Amino acid sequence: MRVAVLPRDQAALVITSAMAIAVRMGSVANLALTIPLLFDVLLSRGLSAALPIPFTILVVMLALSLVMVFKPRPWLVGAFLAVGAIGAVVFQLSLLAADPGLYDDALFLLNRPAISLVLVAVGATTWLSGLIWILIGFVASTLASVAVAIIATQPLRTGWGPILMVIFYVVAYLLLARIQALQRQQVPDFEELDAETRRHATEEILRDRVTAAVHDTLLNDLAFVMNSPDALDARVVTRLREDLSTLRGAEWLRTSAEVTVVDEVDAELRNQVMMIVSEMQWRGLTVRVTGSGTAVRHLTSEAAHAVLAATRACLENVLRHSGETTAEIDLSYGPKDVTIIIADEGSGFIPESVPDDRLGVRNSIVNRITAVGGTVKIWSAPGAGTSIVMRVPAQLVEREAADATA
Amino acid sequence: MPLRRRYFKQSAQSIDPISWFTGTNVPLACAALVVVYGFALIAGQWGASRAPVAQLAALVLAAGACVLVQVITRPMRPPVGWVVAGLVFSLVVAAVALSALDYSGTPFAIEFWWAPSAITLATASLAPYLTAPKLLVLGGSATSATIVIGLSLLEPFQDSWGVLGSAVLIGYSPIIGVLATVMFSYSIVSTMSRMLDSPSRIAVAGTAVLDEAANVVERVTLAQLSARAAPFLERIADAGVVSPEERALAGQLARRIRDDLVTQSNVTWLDSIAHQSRLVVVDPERRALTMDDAQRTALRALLQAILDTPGTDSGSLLVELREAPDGATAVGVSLDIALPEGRRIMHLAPYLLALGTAVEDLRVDRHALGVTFRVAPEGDQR
Repeated sequence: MRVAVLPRDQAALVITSAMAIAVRMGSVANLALTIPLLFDVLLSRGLSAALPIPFTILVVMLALSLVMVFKPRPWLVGAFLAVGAIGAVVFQLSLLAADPGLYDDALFLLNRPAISLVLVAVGATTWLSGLIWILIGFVASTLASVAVAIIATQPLRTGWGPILMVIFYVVAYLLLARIQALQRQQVPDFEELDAETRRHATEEILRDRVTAAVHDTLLNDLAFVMNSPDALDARVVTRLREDLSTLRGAEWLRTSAEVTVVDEVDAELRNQVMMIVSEMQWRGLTVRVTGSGTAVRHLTSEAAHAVLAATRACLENVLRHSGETTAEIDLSYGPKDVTIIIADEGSGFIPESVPDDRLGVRNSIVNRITAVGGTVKIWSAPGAGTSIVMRVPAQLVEREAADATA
Repeated sequence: MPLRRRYFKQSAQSIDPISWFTGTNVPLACAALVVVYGFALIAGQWGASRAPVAQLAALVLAAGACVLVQVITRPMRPPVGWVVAGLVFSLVVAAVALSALDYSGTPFAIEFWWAPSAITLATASLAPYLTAPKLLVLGGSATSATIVIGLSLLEPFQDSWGVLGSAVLIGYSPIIGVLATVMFSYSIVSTMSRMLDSPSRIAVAGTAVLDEAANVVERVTLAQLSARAAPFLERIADAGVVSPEERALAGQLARRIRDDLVTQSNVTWLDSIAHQSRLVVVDPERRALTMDDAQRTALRALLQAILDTPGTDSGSLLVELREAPDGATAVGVSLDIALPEGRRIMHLAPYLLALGTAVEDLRVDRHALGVTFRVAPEGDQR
């Protein structure tokens, strides 16, 4: 989930476009309102015969305006300006031919189509382009009025309507420009902050991996050195070197969830479990492995690594704290997950009483498994042994197979 | 809630609060337009007014409605509801009535009546702050009232226009204004809703992010934790033997690493910020970990903005997280700051507004800077 704030450039684009849509809606409303006004003026003056031409012009311009609201293509706006300018001229001339007195009494009616010429705006993406289209429309509107004045040999009267519309929308676009300029100065880049948060979250996960890895390698190795005989066995030396090599390479840090575990890796997982078992047996812990289930499960590589590391940590705990020399691993498969149970019949402990500074269970087992979407349950009591049940989700159940147990 | 229904439930401000917190004062610009336009037409029709002072009073009333919008929409004010918006429109309709009463019975050209445009401008001033249905209902009602008032008081004295023509002339500006602002509001909300919900905005940490983070962790955390123990173990492995002194040293190193690991495990993202500043974090239950990415980003941005504010004693910045009885996390942020209230709020407004989109019950103490909010329990977050 990210901060629900659009980048400023996108927000500015949306608001500017909305302003352009509002302008075009104004044009539609203007033309629609002009129709009853036309009827009122002509019918009240007994000029119904003059209705067809101006009415047709209004209907055509209204239809074009409606299309422009939803499809403000530049060619369509251009066509509207051309057709509308001619229409505005013909509209006025046809009415003046019916009653020249309308030039004085009903200029409000005469210049309505010319006002719609002002209210054009292509899908403006910047305040400047919106402003330019308004001004182009105003020029077209004024030219129409000039043409009417010349043809009808009347003094030029544009009326206040087009001018007021231009003033209103110029002020609106300039306000928009000012708001957007202030926004750029004052509003932080939330995209960048989001990216930082994601980076920090990734670092957190990786730090947990480091903590678990250091716990399992360095801390275990130091404990081994503290309790080792004077001369180290070749296997111990090899293990020390492997652990140090692991920490130096740090490739495990970059293990990502995107890598899909395939059959071969499942086999590898099984082999690695057996290697851990072998190592533990060498160190004095006999591990019995059992299993059940009849399908091949795919684990993510992250889940596979988590299972291996947590299993190793569980067996380390048995070896160090249980006082037992035997343990049992049970691998079983559910419809959508894999369950690993590590059990011993040793001294046990009270899980709730483990202090927070004991990292073995929390980091090496619980955090690892929960980090890959799994769950961990621990049953233990003093003298009653310990059972740790780890369940990790399987990415895919490949096929049913009778002998697919590990 | 289905997306299309949400389009009618939100205003342009609520879906994108940051675009409307500042500073250019849209309602004041509308008030200025009311005054300029209204005064020009009143002056042009001065002789038609029985008492020009009544027109000026109506003008003040109409402009005052826009100023009221300015006041009620300052940053961190609650959303504008039906009642407050209704009050704004009532003021403008009162101005329309006052103006009409004054012009009633005089030879007045109805097409030059300024008052209906006040409805348009009041609607425009509320455009970012009201939902499309509210704009339509309240603006439509005010327009209807204006038409009724105009027809009742002015139309009987018109020579050039019939009833239908007069009604169109009176309602012309407000009808266009209301339809345009409704379209404006709906267009912003519908477009932004789709953009905010777009899957393309839900980015995932890619390989580059992973590599960068891995480099940082490897260089800092892993290096710190293994700085002394790794060379020691290497020496042991090379020698193949362990002396009593080395056993003792191994014990010391093990204790130190254990302490470091415990500290490392208890550090939250908020502690990491605190380490880089004088910010004080009180989070005994590590509730910071319950916050999602959006909440972390918004809070981090706010804290950074506070720390960057001139006159801030960063050592006094306290962030406290506690578990609420319902399992949510209650968060409090407080500090001492010398900046005047107005400038402080304006400076922090974008950050507070962004935080408001990610958390619940955001409350800001405007006098002593204090911010409190809740983070819903896991699984219950929006």
